[in-house]
Amino acid sequence: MRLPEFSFHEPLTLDQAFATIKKNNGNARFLAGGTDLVPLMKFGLETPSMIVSLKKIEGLKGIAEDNGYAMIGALTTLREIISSTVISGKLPALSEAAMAVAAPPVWNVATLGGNIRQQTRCVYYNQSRAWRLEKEPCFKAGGNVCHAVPRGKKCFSVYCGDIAPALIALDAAATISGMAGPAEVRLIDLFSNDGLSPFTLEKNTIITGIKIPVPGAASRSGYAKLRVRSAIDYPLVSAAASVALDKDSIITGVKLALSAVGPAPVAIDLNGVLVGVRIDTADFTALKDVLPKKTQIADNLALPGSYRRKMLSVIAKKAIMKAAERAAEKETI
Amino acid sequence: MNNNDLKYVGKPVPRKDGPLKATGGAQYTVDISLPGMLVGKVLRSPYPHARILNIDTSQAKKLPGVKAVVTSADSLKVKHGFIDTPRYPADQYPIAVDMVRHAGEEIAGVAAIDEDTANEALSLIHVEYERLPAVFDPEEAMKLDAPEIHPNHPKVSDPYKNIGGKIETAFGDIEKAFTGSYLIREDKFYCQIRTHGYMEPQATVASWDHSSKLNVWTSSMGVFLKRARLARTLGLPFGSVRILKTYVGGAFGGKIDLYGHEYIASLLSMKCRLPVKIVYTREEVFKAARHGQPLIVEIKTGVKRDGTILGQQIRTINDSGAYRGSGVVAIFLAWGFAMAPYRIPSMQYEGYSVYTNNLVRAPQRGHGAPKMRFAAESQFDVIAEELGMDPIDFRLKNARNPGDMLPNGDSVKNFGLKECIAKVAEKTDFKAKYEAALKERHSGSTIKRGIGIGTTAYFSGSLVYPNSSTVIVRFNDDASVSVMTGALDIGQGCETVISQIVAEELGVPLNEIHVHAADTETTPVDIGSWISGLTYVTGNAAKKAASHAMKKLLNVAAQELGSEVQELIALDKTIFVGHSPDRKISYGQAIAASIAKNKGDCIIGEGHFRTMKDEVSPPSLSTAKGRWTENYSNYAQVAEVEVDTETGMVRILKATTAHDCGFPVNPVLVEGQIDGQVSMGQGHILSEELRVEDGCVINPSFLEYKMPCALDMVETDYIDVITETYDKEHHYNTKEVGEGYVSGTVASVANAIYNAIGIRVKKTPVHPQDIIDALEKHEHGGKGDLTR
Ligand SMILES: Cc1cc2nc3c(=O)[nH]c(=O)nc-3n(C[C@H](O)[C@H](O)[C@H](O)COP(=O)(O)OP(=O)(O)OC[C@H]3O[C@@H](n4cnc5c(N)ncnc54)[C@H](O)[C@@H]3O)c2cc1C
Ligand code: SF4
Repeated sequence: MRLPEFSFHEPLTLDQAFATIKKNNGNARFLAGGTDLVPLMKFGLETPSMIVSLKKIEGLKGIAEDNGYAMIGALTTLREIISSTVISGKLPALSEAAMAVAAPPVWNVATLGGNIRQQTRCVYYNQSRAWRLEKEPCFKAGGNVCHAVPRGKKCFSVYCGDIAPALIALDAAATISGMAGPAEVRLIDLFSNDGLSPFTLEKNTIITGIKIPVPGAASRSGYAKLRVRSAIDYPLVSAAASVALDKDSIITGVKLALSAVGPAPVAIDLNGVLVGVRIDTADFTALKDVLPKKTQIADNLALPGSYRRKMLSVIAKKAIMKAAERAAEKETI
Repeated sequence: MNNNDLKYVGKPVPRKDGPLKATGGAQYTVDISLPGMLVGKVLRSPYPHARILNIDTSQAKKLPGVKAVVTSADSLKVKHGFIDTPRYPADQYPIAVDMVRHAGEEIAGVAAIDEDTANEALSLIHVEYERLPAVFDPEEAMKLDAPEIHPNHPKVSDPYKNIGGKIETAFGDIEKAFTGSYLIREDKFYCQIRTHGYMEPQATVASWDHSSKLNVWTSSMGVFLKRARLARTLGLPFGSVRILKTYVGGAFGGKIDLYGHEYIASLLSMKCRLPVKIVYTREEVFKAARHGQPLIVEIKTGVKRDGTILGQQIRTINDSGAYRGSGVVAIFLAWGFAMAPYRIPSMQYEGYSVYTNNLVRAPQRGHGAPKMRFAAESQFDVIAEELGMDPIDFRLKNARNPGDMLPNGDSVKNFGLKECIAKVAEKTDFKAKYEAALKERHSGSTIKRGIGIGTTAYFSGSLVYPNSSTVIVRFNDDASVSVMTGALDIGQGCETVISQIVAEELGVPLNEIHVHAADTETTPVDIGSWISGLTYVTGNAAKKAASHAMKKLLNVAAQELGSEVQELIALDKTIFVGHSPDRKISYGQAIAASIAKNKGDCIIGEGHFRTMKDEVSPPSLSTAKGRWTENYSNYAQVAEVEVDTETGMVRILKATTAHDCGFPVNPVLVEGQIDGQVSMGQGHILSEELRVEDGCVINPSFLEYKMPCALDMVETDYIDVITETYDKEHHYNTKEVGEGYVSGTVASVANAIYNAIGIRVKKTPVHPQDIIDALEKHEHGGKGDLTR
C-alpha cells in the first residue's frame, strides 16, 4: 500500500512549526513516531497535505523528576519510558502500560505524545480503501451508517491507547502549545468522547509534555490489559489503578481508569467502594454492576462486545490488586 | 552397515540455505528485477456472486504509463482445477468469464510502469455487475432453496443443491457393529477457516522472451505442476513455458495450484512483450487467495464394554468455496485420517464437498487431518470417560499394531503408534496429572490446569501429478558433485536433505555437493513439495542416482586398480583395495580415467522413484478404493494447558510429541517441523479465524488475524520412536513429518481443556468468550458443550 502525496516539514522550534502551518495554510498532521499516523495514511483514512515532523524540535524529549513531579517530554519514546527506573519505581502503571503497547520494535519509535493522541479504532474503519469499497461508508468515513451498531446514530470507534488510562489513574496533566500559546490540561480533558473527533484539542495543537505528581510511598499503581496474543494486539479492555494504603493495608484511596471501552478512556469514580477495607478482604463484586454502565462497548474489535463488557470488572480487579500489592510491599517492578 | 557408521544421514545437519537466508542473499520472487519490468495489478470483484454485464477498460488503456490491460476477452477461456479428472473436470477460469462467484475473484489485470499508475489504471476500469443472491454456509448451500452456484455434480442424486463432489465408502457390517455395541456416541464438530500464514505473499514474475518462450518465477510448492497448468490455460506447449527456481517464504499448502495472478502476469507479458511482476499485498492474500478447509464432522462410534471400537459412521461436509479447489480431496483424505491410526472393524463414511460463495480452498498443512482427528480424538475421550477408562488405555486398546492391513490394501508396516502413546504418557506423567486436574476442578483457584492427548497417522507421499521424481547426480572433474533435482525447497530444507543423502552414498562432504534445483527446463521432473512425499520419493531418487554414479566410479576404480569391486573401500574421496590399502586411486583420477577409457563417460548417475510402483493410479475420490501410501507416520502428542476461568484465556504450557517418522534423515529438521506445527495447531485451536461477513474477509491483516506471535510460542519436547534403519541395498523408509502433528496439537489441547474445566470443545477456535459462556452455563446448572 502506498502513501498519498504530501509536503514534508521539519521545524526546529515550536514557533517555526506553527509558522510553517500558517504559511502553507494546509491541512497539517504532526509526525512523531508515525506508527499510528502512517498506517492511517496508507489506508487513505488520513490525507494531510502537509506533514510537520516534531522530531527535530528541541526540548520535547526526556524524563526528569522536578519538585514532586515527573516531567516527560511528548517525544520521549516508549523504550525510554520503559527503561526509566524513576518510572518503573514510582509510576509502575506507566511503565507497564508502555510495555503493553504493540511489540518491542514499535517501542523504539513510538512516542508518548503520539500514543496519547492516537486515533480511535474500529474493525470496520481501520481498513484499506479497497476493503471499505465493499461496504457503504460509515459515519467515521463520512457516511451515514454504523456497521458495528447497525441502528446506531453515532460512532462507537474505540480509543485503544494503553498509556492514557495509566496517566489518568496517576492524575497526570498534559502541557500543550498551540497558536494561542501554552496551556496545561488534565489528561482526561484531552478526550471528547466522540468517536468521530475524539480529541478536544484545538486544531494544530502540540502536546509538549506530561506532568505526573510523584506519589508517596503508600501509593502505587498497576496496569492490566486483556488481549489475545502476548504482543502486537491493542487492548480489548484495559485498566489502570492507583491504590493508596495505610500502614495496616487498609485502602485509603483508589483511582481507576479504563481504556478500550468506548471512544475515550474513562475515569471511574468508585464512590468510596473499596475504601476503608483491607485489601485482602476487599469485595469487588460492586465493580460488576458499576463498570458496564460507564462504558460504550460495541462489537467492533477482535472479540465481541458482550465478552468485553464481562471482562471490565475482571481486568479492573487485576489492575487494582497489582497496585495494592505493590503499595503493600513498596515494591518496584 | 550399522546406523552408527553413517556420516551424513541421520545427523542434525544445519540447513544449507541458512546463511544465505539469514544474510539476505536468497533471492525471492519479489527480489527479481528484469530490464523493462512492469508492475502488474489485478482488479477483483467486490461482490461474492454477480453476473458481469460489461467491462470497460478504454480509460485505463489510455492512461499514460499503462502498457497492457487484459480481461477474459484476451484469454482462451480454458478452465483449470486442482482436480481435473473425468469425474471432476476443471471448473474455474483463471480470469472471470461473465460471472464471479466469490469476492476477490480476478476480473482484469493491468501492467504499468509503476505501482501508482497500475493502481490508478485499476480505478479506471468500469465493471457493470448484476448482483446475485449468495450463500456462505455449506449446510445452507445444500438446501434446495439456496442460490445455485454451480449445478450439482451429475453423479450425485441426493436431494441437495450445490454439491461439487461426494465420496462414499464402507467396510465391515456397520449395522451389526452398532447393534452389538455397549455404548454408542454421536457428536458433531466444526472447524473454522484458517489461512496458511506464509510470510512471503504470493508473487510472480512472467517474462515472454524474444524466442517466444514464457519464463516464470513464482512463489510456489513445485514447478512442474505450475508449468502444466499455465501451459494448458495459455494454450502453449509445455516446452514453451519455463518455471525457474526462486526462494520461497513458506507455503503450507497455499501455493500449489495455479493462481489467477500467475496466469494474468503471463497474459500481460505476452501482450506487451515486457516482463511483468505481480506481488500481492497482505490484504490481497487474505481477501483473494485460497485458504484452508472448514470441515464439519459428524461422527458416531460404537464400542464394547471393554472399550474395543466396533464401528464408526462418519459424515463430513466441506465448504469448498466458489470452485471445487481441493474440496473433494479434503473429504477423501478425512476418511483416511479416520481409518488409519486405529482398528475400526466396520466403517461407513460419506463426505460432501459443497459450493458456497466463499473463497476457494487449497490444501492446508494436514489437509483434513486436524479436523478429523480433533473430532475422533475428542469423542474417544468422551467414550473413555463414559466407560470409566482413562484416555491412554482406551487408545492403547484400539491403536493399530505393526503389520495391520488397512481396508484399502495398505499395510501400516512398522507402525509405532502404540509405543508413541505409551512413551508420551509416561514422559508427561499423564495419568497422575489427569487425575490431579479432575480433583482440582472443584478447588477455589481461578486458574485450572489440564492435560490431554491427541494422535494421528499420516500418509507419506501418494500418487499425484507428476507422480514421480528423478534426480541426476554428476561428478565434476574435481570430484565435487552437482545434483540436478526438480524439487523446490519451500523452507522445509529439502535441498539439505537431498545433499545429505547424496553425500552419504558418495562419501563426498556436504559442502562439495552443489544442488541445482527446481527449473522445468534444466532439472528432471519432481513430485513437488506437497503430499508429504518429498523426502521419501525424491530422497530415494537421489539415493538411487548417487549409488548409480558410485557404482560407475567403483567400476572404473576396479579396472584401474586391477581388483574386484567388492574388494574396494571408498573413504575421503579415495578408493582403496581393502586388503592392500596402498593400492588406491582418488575420485578425481578415477573420473579422469573414466573419461579417457570409458568412451568419455564423465560419471553421471540417474535415479527415479515412484511410490507404490505396482499401483497404476491414485485412489478413487468417489469410493476411496485403491492404495494410498507405502509408509504411515504416526504420533502421539500431549498438551498441558492452563485455563483462566475469569478471562476464558487458555495458555498451552507444553506440548510433548512422541513421533515415528521412520528413518529421520535430519533429526533437527524433524524437530523444526514439530515446533512449526505445534504453533499452527495452537493458532487453529485457540485464536486463528478468518472473519467473513457476506463473503468478504473483514480481518485481512496479521494485526486482526490472530496468528500466534513469537512470544506465544509453546515449550516443546520430543520423544523419538525410530522404526526404520538405513539399509545400503534398499531404499529409505522415511515417513511424513511435515503435516500430521498439527492434528495432535488441536486434539490434545481440546482434550486438555476438558480435563481442566469439564467442558467439551466441539468447535474451533476456542475463543475466550466461548469458555466464559460455557462456564456460566455450567454454573447455572446447565451442561452443554462448547459448540457453535
Ligand atoms: C502493530 C501495531 C500495534 C499497536 N498496538 C498498540 C497497543 O497495543 N497499544 C497502544 O496504545 N497503541 C498501539 N499501537 C499504536 C501506536 O503505535 C502507538 O500508540 C504509538 O505510541 C503512537 O506513537 P507515535 O509516536 O508513533 O505516533 P504518530 O503516529 O507519530 O502520531 C499519532 C497521532 O498523534 C499525533 N501526534 C503525535 N505526537 C503529537 C504531539 N506531541 N502533539 C500532538 N499531536 C501529536 C499525530 O499527528 C498523529 O495524529 C500499535 C501500532 C501498531 C502499528
Ligand atoms: S463504530 Fe460505526 S461509525 Fe464508528 S468507525 Fe465503526 S462502523 Fe464506523
